[in-house]
Amino acid sequence: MSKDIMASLAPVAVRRIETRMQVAKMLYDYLSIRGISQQEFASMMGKQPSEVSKWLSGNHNFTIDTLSDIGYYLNTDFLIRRDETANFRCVNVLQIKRQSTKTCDFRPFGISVFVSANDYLPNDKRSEKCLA
Amino acid sequence: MNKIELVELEEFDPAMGHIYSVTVDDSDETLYDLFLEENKADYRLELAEIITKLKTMSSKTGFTDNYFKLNEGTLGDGVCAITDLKGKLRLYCIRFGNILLVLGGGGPKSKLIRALQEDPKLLIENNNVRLISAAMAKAIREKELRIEEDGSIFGNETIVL
Repeated sequence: MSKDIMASLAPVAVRRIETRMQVAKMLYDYLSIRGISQQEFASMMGKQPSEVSKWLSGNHNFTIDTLSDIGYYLNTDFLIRRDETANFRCVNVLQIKRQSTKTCDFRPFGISVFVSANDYLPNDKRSEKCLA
Repeated sequence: MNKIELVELEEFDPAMGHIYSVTVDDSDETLYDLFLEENKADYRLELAEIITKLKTMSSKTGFTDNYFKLNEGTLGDGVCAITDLKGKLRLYCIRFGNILLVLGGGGPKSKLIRALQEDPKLLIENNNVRLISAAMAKAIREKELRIEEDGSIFGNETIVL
């Protein structure tokens, strides 16, 4: 029965839900590791605790500005992780839509990359192509 | 409800946690099956969202409490709810840490309703899950049931209420 029901949700929509949940989990884990309560985090961000609860629910569709603000107030670039041990420099970040001609939207091996025009990956041909 | 049997839902990859549901009084269908059956005509998309969330939790993230509406039962009984993205459908479940989830039933939740007690269907489903939680807690205390480190259940999966 589940298969029939799942046919009503497009694969891209399934992926969106997975991504929202994983982003929420990243934030949840980060707050847990740093020992920051949701109340404290809301206060830092100038938001109501209920809004933070929505962010963490896995339902929320964050804007890039909100994610940027979160990184700013938590003093981290948790949005962007670099895995220097990989054979190629894999920038493991959030999926974004093409915002402008200055940012690239491409999905190598299921990992989406968020880079500015000044931040390229020498070993990734797609980034070179994008920045060309 | 005289007897329940815990049934692991094999459709969910248990890499991060196991998902079970229950059959009641020798029924062939679990409460989760009934939830899907009751709501698939009018809430197909919402069901698909809930299933996607369950799949993501069991395979990728675990059942961390941020994904659930907590405190839907009595204090400390683990009864909580999972909803679709817009909160139209509610599925009651019992959360055992981040590694085990037992699904009950649920139903549509109207925005006009503020308290659970105002909706007869949700009240019944919520009460069922509370009973199941209490029965499981008793079985665990009496060592008839054990939750393994990976969230799987070991022991007598049939519990007489």
